[in-house]
Amino acid sequence: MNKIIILIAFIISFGSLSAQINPDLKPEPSDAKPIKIGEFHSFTAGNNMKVFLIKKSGYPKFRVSIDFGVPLIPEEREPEARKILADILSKGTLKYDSDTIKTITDFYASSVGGTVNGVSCAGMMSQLETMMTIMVSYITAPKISDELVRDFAQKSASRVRESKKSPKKELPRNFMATLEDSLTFYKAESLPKIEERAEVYDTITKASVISYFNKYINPDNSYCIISGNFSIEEADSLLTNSLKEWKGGQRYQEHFTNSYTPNFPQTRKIYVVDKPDAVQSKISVKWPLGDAFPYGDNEPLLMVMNQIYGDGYLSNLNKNIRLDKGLSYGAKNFLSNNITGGNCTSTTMVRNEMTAYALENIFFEMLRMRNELVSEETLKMAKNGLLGDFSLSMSNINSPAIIGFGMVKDKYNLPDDYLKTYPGKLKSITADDVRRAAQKYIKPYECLVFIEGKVADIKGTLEKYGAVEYYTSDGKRIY
Amino acid sequence: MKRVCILIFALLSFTGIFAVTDVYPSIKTVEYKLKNGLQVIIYQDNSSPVVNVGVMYHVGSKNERPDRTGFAHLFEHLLFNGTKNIPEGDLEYYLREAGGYSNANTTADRTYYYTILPSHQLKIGLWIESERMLHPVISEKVIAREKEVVKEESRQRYDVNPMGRIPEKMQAIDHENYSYRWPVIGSMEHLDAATTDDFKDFFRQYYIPNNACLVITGDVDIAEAKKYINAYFERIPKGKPVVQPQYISANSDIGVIRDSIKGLKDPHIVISYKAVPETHKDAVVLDFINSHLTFTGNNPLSEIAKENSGILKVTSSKELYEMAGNMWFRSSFKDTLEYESVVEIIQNKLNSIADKGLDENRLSQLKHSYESGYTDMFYDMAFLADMLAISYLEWGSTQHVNNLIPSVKAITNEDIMRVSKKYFTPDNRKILLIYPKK
Repeated sequence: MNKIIILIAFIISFGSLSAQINPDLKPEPSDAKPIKIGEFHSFTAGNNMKVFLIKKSGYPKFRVSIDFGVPLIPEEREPEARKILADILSKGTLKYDSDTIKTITDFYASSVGGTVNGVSCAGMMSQLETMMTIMVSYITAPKISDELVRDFAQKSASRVRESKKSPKKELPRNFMATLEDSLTFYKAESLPKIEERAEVYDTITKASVISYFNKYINPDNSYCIISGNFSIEEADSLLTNSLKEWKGGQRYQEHFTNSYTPNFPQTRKIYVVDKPDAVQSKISVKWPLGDAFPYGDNEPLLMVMNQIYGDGYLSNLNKNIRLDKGLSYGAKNFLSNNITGGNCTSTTMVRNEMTAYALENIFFEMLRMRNELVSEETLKMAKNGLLGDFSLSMSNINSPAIIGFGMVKDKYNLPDDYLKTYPGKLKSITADDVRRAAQKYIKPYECLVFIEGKVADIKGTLEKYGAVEYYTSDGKRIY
Repeated sequence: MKRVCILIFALLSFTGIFAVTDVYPSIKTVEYKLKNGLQVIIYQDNSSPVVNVGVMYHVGSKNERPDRTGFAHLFEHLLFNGTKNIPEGDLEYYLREAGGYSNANTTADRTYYYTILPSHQLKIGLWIESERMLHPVISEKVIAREKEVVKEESRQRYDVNPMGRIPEKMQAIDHENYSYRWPVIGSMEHLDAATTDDFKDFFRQYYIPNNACLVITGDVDIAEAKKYINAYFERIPKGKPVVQPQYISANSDIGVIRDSIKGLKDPHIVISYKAVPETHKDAVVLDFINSHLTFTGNNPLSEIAKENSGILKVTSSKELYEMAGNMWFRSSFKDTLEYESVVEIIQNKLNSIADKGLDENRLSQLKHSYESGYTDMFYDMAFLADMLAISYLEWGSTQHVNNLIPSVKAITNEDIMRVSKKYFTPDNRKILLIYPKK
């Protein structure tokens, strides 16, 4: 009886649903399904190597990568031994020389590689055993011989001595790129100088290179990302069997802190490089963000702020410059996180004679973000759009978001559930949060403006926005 | 969703990936035609809660009048504006609010609008595509604005680089009697001269259900989807049948055409061999030869630049359309070199392929590479949707996607030599020679 009632209720609801579809009205969404973060497992292999498995049911391809050093092998340690080992690995292994490896990988259109930073292989599942065998040989059978060490050491010693005698000539560079590089927002940290020494190459031995290898290239100091149609048991078994000869070692956990030393502009300054034949001028407005670190606590908020201000077709910047005024094919703000401090760049290309007008509108949108509270509709669109992007990135067959997370999880000390909690963080952001972030991070009066365009059409129109310097394309100041 | 790459015949599900022979992946779609002629193509893959909704119209720049070029591309812009039921400017907003990403592209033969959405938002994707097809707002205001945007796009894409307009110069020579002779972006003068009625007429003629296909791939409940497809798309009236313009070959016998461009650093040459439309059986072999010439670092064309001082770079591309096709070889070279020697060097490389074919290793390598690339297509719902729609509109069947790997695997050295001998001959080529303008 109950079943009949349910059936009737189902038929009624089905019929009424069909009748309710009004094609003139925007439809309501169905119930949302949870975002699948992918089958992402973390385990420790038999040889103590940390493994991240990204399971892709049925997918007939695989990828395995092992990165040495958690989080990073510091470049400044034993640069000579490291360089020789790099040279040796470039020649292949004891079991497979580099020509053989190239022939095999070319034939299968697959890939295998080995460097001082890590090893990797990828291809169709039918090639798994072949590719794994070659990849593993980089770490179990490196071709470290007296002869090769001597040969590479002599070459490197000569190179170092030669470079001291005749320093490399600077290649001619685009002046605008040189100018932008010279005007940095952060003071350089005094990193220890990494300098190869010819006298170390003169005396280096096979034992020194092996010592370097054993010190850093060991399972305790490495992590592996494996993706494909594997269960945890299958992945564990594959790695344990392939790497059973590779054991022991020590983990080198480097202390890692995000920090920056500001060298922020105090005013707005404009640099124009003349391109007399240009049909458009390229405008870039750049400013520093300070504590915008990769995977930082404020990252979801910065993403929402940027989505509304300048990232995407419906951002304020693109709406103003392209959709409302038709000045450009597009306008966008690039927000980049960095361990030594982040940056923003708002950019567009417009006709030369529209340069000042476009710049004024960029400043207008920067100010609007700081002064106005974004509407609930705009906030909803930005958050939903980013959630959709996140969901899509999780479903992508190449899993860049998951692999990216796996690669930096230890480096940034991220929790296992970082990806799972990310959507919740996005959803919790309010309009007040966005305005506070804009007031802290968007700096219309403390920024640098770079313009490449036809000076004859631009000169005199920009001065009201700040001090302007005009240059030729080879760097001569003209005004 | 079932995905297996071993020989499995029986499947529990109606759709899914299975292997037709050996290890090649293959898919099965659900397809039907609405009364108004709209072809519906659905491929179900429930592995991720994401769905792709696309409509491909069988209209491109080849359908334009010679004095009204750039229309198809402008419509790519115009149809994002709004509809009778979607206020101007809100169409994209609705999609983004639903967590979607949308875009469009236009070629000489077709125009494709697509959206990738969280699957519980399928309805809005379908509704917006139906609104776009039924009653978009094509107002003077939006036309005027988008014309300006397209002009900026044209400057940004083609005018900032002195070499940006070279392809359209070669197209004009290859297809002097057909509408492939102008670029997809068209003429800005034509856009300025066009009236709102010109645009409305173009829309009525081509953006109709019987000249399009709706393609849905990903996490979809087929019965539920059909219900909404019928409700949203069946209200759209059928249009007049579209007849694609018949191809008329170029009749010019001029072998070498000279031109000059301001700002060009070195002389540049384009050698164009007349080939076949992309649906011709030889097209897959030409594509394979093109891959041989350009794939991996030590490919035959990069060897030319290494072996011959004065030749700066050589590239090749297949310019295959629905109705005709050409293979292009382009090279920048120093003015110390005569152009005839550049032509001879490239021709010799092609003669060598025609005489000897490829060695077996290279043949296998390229086949493995194609297999690997096409395999990903079956797991990338956006890529697959695009390919299904193209296959339907141009090959007449979506099953073309299942034949991509087998058709490449079947290529032999005899095919490569035969096709090279047939098309890469001096009397089958035209040359465009461009010097820096003094």
